[in-house]
Amino acid sequence: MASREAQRSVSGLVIVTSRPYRGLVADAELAYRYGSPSVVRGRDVGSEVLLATCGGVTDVGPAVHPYFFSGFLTDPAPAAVAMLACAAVARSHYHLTSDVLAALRDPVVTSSQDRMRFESFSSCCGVHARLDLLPGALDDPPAAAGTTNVDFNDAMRAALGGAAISGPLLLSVGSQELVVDTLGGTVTERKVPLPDRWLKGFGEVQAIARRMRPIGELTGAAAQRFVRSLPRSARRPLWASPAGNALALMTTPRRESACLAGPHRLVELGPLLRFTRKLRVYGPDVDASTTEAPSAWELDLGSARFTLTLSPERYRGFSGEGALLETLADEDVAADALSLGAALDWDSRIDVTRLETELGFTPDRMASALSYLAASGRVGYDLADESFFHRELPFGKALESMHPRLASARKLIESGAVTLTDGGAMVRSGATEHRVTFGPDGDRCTCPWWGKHRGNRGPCKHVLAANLAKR
Amino acid sequence: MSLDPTLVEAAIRRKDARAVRDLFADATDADRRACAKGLKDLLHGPGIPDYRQMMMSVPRLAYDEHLRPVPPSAELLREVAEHNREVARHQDRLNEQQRAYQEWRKMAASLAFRLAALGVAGGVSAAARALEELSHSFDEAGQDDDLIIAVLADRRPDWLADLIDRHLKQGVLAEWSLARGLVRIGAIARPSVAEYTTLMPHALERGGFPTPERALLADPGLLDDEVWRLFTVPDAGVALETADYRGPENTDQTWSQALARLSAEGYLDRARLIDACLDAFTRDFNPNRVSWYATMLAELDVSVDEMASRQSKYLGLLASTSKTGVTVGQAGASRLLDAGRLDAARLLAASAPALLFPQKSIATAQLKLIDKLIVREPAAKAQATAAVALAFGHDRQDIQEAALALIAKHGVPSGSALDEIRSRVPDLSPALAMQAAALGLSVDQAKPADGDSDEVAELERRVIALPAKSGLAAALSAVRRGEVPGPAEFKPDAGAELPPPITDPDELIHLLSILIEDAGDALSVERALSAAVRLSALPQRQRRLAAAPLLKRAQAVMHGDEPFAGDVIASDIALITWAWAGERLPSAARDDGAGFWSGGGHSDYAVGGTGRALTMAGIFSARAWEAGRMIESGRGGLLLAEPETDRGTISPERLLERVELLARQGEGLRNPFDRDVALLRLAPGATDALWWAWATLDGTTAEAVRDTYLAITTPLRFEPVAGPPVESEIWRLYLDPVLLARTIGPVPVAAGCPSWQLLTRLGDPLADYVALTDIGRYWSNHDEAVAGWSIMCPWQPELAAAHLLRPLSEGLTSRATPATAAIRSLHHRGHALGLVGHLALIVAMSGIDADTRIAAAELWAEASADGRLDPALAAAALSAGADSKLVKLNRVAESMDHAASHSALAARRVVETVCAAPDLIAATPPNLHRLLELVAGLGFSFGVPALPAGLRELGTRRGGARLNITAAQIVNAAEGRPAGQRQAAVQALTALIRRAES
Repeated sequence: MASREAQRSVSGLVIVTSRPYRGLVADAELAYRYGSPSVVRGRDVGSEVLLATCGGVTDVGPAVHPYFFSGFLTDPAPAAVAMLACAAVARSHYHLTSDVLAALRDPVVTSSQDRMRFESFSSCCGVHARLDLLPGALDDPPAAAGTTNVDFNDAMRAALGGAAISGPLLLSVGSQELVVDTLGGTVTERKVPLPDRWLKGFGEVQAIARRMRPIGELTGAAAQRFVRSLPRSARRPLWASPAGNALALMTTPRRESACLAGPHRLVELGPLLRFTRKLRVYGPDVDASTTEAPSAWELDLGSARFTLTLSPERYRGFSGEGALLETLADEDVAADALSLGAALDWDSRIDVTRLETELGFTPDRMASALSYLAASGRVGYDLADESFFHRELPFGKALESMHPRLASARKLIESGAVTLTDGGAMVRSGATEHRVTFGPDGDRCTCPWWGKHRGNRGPCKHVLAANLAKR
Repeated sequence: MSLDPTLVEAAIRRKDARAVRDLFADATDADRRACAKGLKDLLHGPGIPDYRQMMMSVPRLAYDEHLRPVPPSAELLREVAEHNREVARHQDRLNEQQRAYQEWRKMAASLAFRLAALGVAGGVSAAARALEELSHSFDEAGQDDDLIIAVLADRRPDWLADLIDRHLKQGVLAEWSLARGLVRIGAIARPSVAEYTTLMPHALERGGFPTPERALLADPGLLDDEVWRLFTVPDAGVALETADYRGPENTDQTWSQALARLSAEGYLDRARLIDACLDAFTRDFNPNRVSWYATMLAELDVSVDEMASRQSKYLGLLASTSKTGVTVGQAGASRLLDAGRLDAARLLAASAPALLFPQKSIATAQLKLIDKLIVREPAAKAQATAAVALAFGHDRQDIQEAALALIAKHGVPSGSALDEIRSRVPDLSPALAMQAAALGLSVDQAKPADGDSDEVAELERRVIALPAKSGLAAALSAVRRGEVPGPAEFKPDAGAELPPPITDPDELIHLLSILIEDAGDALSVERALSAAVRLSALPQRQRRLAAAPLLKRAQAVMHGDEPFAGDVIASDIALITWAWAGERLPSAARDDGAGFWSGGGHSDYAVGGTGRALTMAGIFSARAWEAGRMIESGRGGLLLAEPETDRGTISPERLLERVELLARQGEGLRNPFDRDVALLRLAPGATDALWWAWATLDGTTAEAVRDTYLAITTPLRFEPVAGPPVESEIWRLYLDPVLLARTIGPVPVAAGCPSWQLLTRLGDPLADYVALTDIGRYWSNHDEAVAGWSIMCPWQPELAAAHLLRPLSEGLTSRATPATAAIRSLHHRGHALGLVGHLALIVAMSGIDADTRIAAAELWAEASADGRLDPALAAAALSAGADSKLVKLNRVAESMDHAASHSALAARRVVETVCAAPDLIAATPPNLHRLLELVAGLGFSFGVPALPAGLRELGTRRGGARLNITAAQIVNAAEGRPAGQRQAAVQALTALIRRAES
């Protein structure tokens, strides 16, 4: 361990910096330290789920083992199965074969005034899952607000399936009692790699969700039929378009269709379908020229919602989307985000109008600041509510600092490689000088990266540098 | 220095491993570093002889354009002789180096040598290399582990655990004993890598113990931890299963027997063992790799009391993703039920996942379990029958039927249970509506919307506005009677006009930068090609400046995939870019040493050495070759074949303009493939003016040109042909049978269009398969080449479809084909689908790749909506496909199901197609019942046309075969006229009107 340097973040979570792993792009390790493992216990009637917590922030500041909630779930079966689905996404890698074990990162829980949200992000950085336990799902509101990691160990998950059919379910997130760690021998500690791209994707997926809108809605039975009819694998992205009471699958996009790249990534919806009242599909605006796009698949479970957000391609994570690079590059937006961040108070729905008035922001400034905070892991986006919610990802690392394309663009500016021309710029990159053309339908560049992605993955470093220079 | 390298070297040379270990026993890190320096030469050895020296440039023989060797010159023969002498001298030197290396290798393979390497290793990587060599050598087997453990334990470097983890991950069996030895003496903690657990059963088996039980008792520490890991580590179950499978060869005991005995003897906690087995089914294990745990449970013979205390776990297994896990849960529940110790309400609450489990046997077993529950506990009947209704949502219609039958057997309950069942009835297949209705569980049929009559009135107004000869009055009457009109009589059309040709160099560069990466858009490729020729008149300096950012990438693409070979069009575009920037094009001969050509002299090019297309697949590359030469000349010009519409067609007026322009420029028709494709794309209606202008330019007569044009626009006739490609016995070993189309009757000869001969070489596509497919070029995903085939001859859509059948046929059995691109290229509504087009559609619906099947479903829906889909032709294609035994009806049914979700008309056409295929029904090919099941469901929603006698007869046969049951359901469906039929009728008429209006 000589090459590693342990640091304890403000939230109590241990970030251990290290050399890059062989074969993995990892900049750090995340050490989960739970006071005791999560357990499922039988009760006289029903069961009790005690979720151990670790790290994060509460409404009164950083906490080592925060306590958020203890109460009965009004509809335990779908909630328990959805928690398992959330945990399964956290333990999955949808691009590699099943022989490759995913790094076992735990789900994150956000507690706000009236609801609990469980979030997880797959190891491949391409699937984000969120379970929203809405006010109706909890017999009492949460005791405190904040965000933390929760332990979903093997034994607990194995027992949770049985608990779901055993009557009432008492859920505790954290414990009111002081958990004695280290000496009692109950501490569970696990280290997992914490690659930048995973962290970045976890944040960025929220900002990408903000650009989506409803595409279609299926009833429970139609949702079951649709999900079960999906092929297990598809080499290229498929598109789902509303057709009567169903969704029709296609290989070419059209307006009002949602991209479904890697249908196997919806596998975790399977066990939840029997509880499903509605399946809603969301996606960004697309047309016949779109090659791929992200999408979100939301199950309405009554008092809960379970949403899977998929990256545009099965082998491509959210971290490379670059959708926010121009926002992140703007120093004014960074300053606005700082002000906005300070005004947030674990809102389950951020009241944009009120904050615009309080902070004196225009709607555009507010939108940019929210996108900035989303990419920084400080707010999430709820598609059903069409609103952001406050949460702070408990990883103790500034997400906005992890955009290599932005760093490269700044480097190009610093090295004087950008020359603005009429309607564009010439950007010298190595031995080649690329031509950037500004246009009303989007800027374009002559570099291979742009030729390959055509702006679908955000601006290339040359376009970004040209825009920075223009400012 | 207490560690003398000379003593170590001496011990290595006499292969005295024990002495090496003793020498290193007390060495400090400093000693080891010093010793490493002293042994550096010995440990590194003389190095591997560099055989690359032998790879001197060989004098190349020349080939003519037919790839026949040209007789060598005297100078070449002298070069060859000198070359051979030089090779002999090199060989002598290398032999000497090889002898020295072999001797060193022999020594390096000894345990003594490797122990020394381990002893001086400066870090984990060096130690890993030494250990890796040891795991391969074993020339002193037996004493290896102890000495290696001793050398490592003496050092106890801080990277020791990391080293062992790395080696275990490589899955080498011998590493487990080493790891275990180090754990046993406390040199490392128990490794956390999975292989420490998964290798254990096999490693212990190899340890010489008669049974696993004896092996475990010989190392009792394993019972505390390692044994329990077998239940928590993924794939440990597979390792145990493999060991048990192999066990009887070496031992008299399986692992499950051993663990059961150890439990009985008190070495292992029985309760923990049972729990561990049950929990294994709910872990993140591959669901298909957990059957050993069921075997273990069977070996433990779990009692009813033990099961009762774990009722939640057993019932929880009903939600397992593993079939074995669910089966264990069902077996446990069944025993508890027999013993009267099962909580009925909890079983019913837990039943949903098993009732919806994809495999029939699991869902059926759960229905039986509930049946048994009702018999034993009649009080639970209402709740149980309500739970059974969950199976209405099962994918399989036979499971839905079984659920209905169970409800019928025990009687429909009342009150809230009935409400619960009714809420599930919409999940049932429409084909079961009658059975459900018989139980009082009717499904509300959708009633025609009020707007329907308005819609028909609007359609009538449109029909009246059309000329009388459009013949739509009959179709309108049919719709008024509630019948669904047939498809339109269809001819290919020109398509929509493309944007004006590209004349802006920036626009060209923009397009080239995209196409170099992905040339899948065939029309953009054509536009870029023409624009590059047109804009090649710009000054070279201007072109070079504009294209400079693309040159590096263009070069990389050309080096990655050889340009002008007929397959990777992006590489053709890269070379066009290269030429446009003013760079030199290579000479035609592929052995010109310019570095462009990587293959040199292979006979399987689609384009010959002079740039002449050898197969139809090479026609585009040959045109690109011609364009490249024009660009290189820097004189600008035009391509006659530049498409004018999105189907690739050219109007006679535009072609005449181009020909006249060439004439004014004093240019002849010097590009034969451009000329051919221009003729193939020419829309009907050309006048003599075009033929005259053309003849003048081409040095021929107007009659000859017109005759050529008439020949290449003569409709061809095709018939399906299936079988193995019969070129040669060798190819038959590698090629799967294919379903293609061959021309029947005489094919017109077009003397002035050599490309036509390449396109129509379809008289015996099986015999010519190797030549046609250009074997080796289209086995991988060359989507972009195939994407352009349908716009090559837009007025001969059946000919294009016949060629597309090759990749589609390959897509029946292989995933790495451009089958999806092939079927997508038929999407344009102007591309008429004849028998071959429909055959291509059906073959795609049976493709092995889901993408291909979904793309085919999309085409089915689009072709239904625009009137191109003809159920009679689709039926003929379906029959031919099934007859060939290459088209799988289960896949076709799945694809048609996707198609049916698009629109009422697409669904109705599925029903009509199957009903129009009496031969198919009479032949009862495998999986016909899947197709009939789909038709039955769709028939209830969208109506059924006149039924063939064979289907009626099949439906009236007695017996419980799925085929008879589903046929009977279709017969029942034919008696109704559901709302969906009217919807389909309106959509069909709309398609006909749109066609007539356009």
